[in-house]
Amino acid sequence: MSNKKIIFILIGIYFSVTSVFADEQINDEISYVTEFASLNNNIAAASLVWTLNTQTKEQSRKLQAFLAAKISGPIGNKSVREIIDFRIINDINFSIEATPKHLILTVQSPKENFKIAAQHANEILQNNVINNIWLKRKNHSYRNISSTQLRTPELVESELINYVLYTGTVKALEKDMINLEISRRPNQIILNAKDFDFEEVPNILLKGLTNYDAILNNEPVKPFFDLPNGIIHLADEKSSETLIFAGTVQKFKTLSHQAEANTLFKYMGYGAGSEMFRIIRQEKRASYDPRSHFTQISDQLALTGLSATVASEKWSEIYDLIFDIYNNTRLGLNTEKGMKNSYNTMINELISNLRRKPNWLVKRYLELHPNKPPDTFINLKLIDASFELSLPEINIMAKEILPEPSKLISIIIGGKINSKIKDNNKFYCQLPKNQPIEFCLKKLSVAQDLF
Amino acid sequence: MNIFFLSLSLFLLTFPVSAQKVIPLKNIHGLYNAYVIPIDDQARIDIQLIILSGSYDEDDISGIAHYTEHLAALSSDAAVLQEPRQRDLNAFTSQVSTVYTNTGTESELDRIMKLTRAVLDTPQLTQSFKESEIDIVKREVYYKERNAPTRWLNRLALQKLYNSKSGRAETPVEDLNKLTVERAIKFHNKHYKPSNSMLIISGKINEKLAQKKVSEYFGSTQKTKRVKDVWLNQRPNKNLNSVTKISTNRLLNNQLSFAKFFRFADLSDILGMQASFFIASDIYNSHLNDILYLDGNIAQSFSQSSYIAINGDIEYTASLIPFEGVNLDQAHKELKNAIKSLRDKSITKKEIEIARAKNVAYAKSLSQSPRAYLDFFQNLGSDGLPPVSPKEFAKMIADAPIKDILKIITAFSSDSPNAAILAKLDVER
Repeated sequence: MSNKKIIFILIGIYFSVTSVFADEQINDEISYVTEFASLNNNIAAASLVWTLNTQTKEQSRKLQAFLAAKISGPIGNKSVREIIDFRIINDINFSIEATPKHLILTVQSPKENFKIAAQHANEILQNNVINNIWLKRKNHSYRNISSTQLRTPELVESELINYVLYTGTVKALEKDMINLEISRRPNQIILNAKDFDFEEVPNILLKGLTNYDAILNNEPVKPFFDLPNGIIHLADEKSSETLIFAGTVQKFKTLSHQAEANTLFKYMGYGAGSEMFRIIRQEKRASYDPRSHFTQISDQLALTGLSATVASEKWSEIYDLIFDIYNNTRLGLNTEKGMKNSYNTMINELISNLRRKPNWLVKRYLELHPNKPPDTFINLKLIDASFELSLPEINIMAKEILPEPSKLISIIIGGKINSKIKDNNKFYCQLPKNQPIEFCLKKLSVAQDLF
Repeated sequence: MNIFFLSLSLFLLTFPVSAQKVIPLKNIHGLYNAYVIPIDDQARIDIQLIILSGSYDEDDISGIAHYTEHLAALSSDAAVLQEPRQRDLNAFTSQVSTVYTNTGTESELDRIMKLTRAVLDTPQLTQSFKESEIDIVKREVYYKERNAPTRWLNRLALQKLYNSKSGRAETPVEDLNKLTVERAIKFHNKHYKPSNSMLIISGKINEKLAQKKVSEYFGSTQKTKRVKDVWLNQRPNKNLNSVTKISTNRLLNNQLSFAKFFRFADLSDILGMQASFFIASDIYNSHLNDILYLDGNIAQSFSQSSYIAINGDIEYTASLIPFEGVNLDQAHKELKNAIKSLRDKSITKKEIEIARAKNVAYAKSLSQSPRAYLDFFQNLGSDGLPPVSPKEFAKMIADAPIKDILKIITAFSSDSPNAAILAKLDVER
């Protein structure tokens, strides 16, 4: 039924060498099929990608909740119990991801069950009856939870990323429109398994799905925002714990630059040997979870930062210490052994992402080829760039790799106001209770004219 | 309960992973037990030291077992490594055990044996470091509470069920300021005995080498009595039917937490009992899930958990966030009705076979991850039972007798002590 274009990327067993080549090329200009071979031996995955521009995070949540309801609800005469038992027995798992340009549904299972997993995925996609109870449940599950409620660094990270990526203002999405949109054939199918013949899998996945262009939010995605710099503080004198985050969204000039920054952030805050752990946890005994953040959010764009949750009475002391760690790393005062460990951690994370996380590879691929595969071959240059770093050079260049401390945004949730820190910072925003971080991000952005 | 058998072809319980034979070591010296599990296709060796005591064994201060775990792990690191505290420690305190895992290659075997052995030595760290580790424990406990506010509500339900704040119920947040070095050392001295410890060595190692290393590092240990699990005698009031309503701002939603205690009295086959329990709990969980969540609209979200102790005591806990328009009283009533409705339900052979197949599939799925193997080994080991590999687990599941499975479901659906906390938000968010 479907014509297809298949492109393989082969990654050497030790990931020291990457080779890429195109296999066969057939193309019906509706659903493009790309095949990777990076996952662990027994696992196969297929990601169905709808090219679908999303203006706001609220829209993105609605789309994901809708797709989740479609996966979770009954199908025809089959009860949800039957469906769940079937998935558990065959070890079939679904996951949903969204970017401002794509909605991604990934189905994953052991290779021996993958054809029935694909049939099941198609059965779900062909079912146009959406159960309202499940839709309400999933809308609730995908609701916004503010980082100021739970005070976790993961929620702060997520709020900052959403602020940067979703910059439009159109909010409403009609249920029927979403249903129609997700009922059409996906624009791309990305397969991933080692030594596995996907044969008819694309045809199985696409069976019975109709062909038409995207109808929803077909406007171009608005440019991303920059994060402002300065300090945002939600003061809470009663709190015993205060979360400190200091970071930014960094645009990298080159992929090497990106891998170098990743290595430096691993040095500062990944694991027990890192500077954050060594100084803030082991020497100062101040935090259980000091760590660094490095999350790629678009092509050569990542959220980077450092965070720690500390006793409220100590927050300003540790805040200064976090900046000391950042400054020292930026000055290149980094040990050879620590840098080597951090480089190995960065490489291990890369390998783990390739072997175990099909969605990670799909997102990296879509950043490069959002609409269709290239005519010739796929080259994820980030892999080569990561393997080819020179550690001494990173230390020498650290000042250029990491932004100046004054360019960072600090988010403090909890604790008393520190008048010295407040008065010394030109860009300071005291976050009112019950307001999201976005409230202050906008104020600071206006002050810095970043829109 | 009516029992109705439906003819059904058996699910295939095939398990195509390489065999893992659990071999009890002959000479265990002072240890409670020691096993080796050779895994040919694995490049590394894991050593799990299971202290057969956990948070249930704390006398009166919640969190002492956890704090002791920190001290023992950091002390073993300091005793063996030139650069201590520069690696990620792998230690975990559960209700009934504390597990330390050290991993390395064959060439690192002596180092990881030393690290394992040192856990049993009284923690040797500076007094100020030991004291300041309490701050780290505090931060960790608060961190986990923030990530999962439901933990607090479930603890309240268990406190009501057992009418206690220690043993099978606990108060780790409230007791944080009671933690002291002295109490942790006292806990260590009492529980971190070789004869209260089990060793599981798995991976690229054969029986002969494992025995040699156990004799080398544990040869000087002396057999003593295992520490008694006093908490096994802790049971709720037989007629307890407790409902507590609270108002809170600690949760994100109105929420019901429910705990129920019941028993499986036949202790003739303790290992077999575990397999029957896995299948039975899958069946009653599915029944409640269908009524309250999958087919019904009582719950916005619903999670359940069951635990069986070595004496056949079973503790069931459930957390339910009511669906839009359902209040907490209704949700509580529906949950209790759903449990009762099992009394009139015919459990079919098909349901039992599906539950068996799901358990096997689950084991098979976890066996894809080398790290998940270790969970299998330590799961039954934590109760002092021999460790079980995924393949052996599949056989246990296949062999579990239907009559025992039904007995457990009957016990679950019968009237038994229970406690519910109905938590309403101060202000609806």
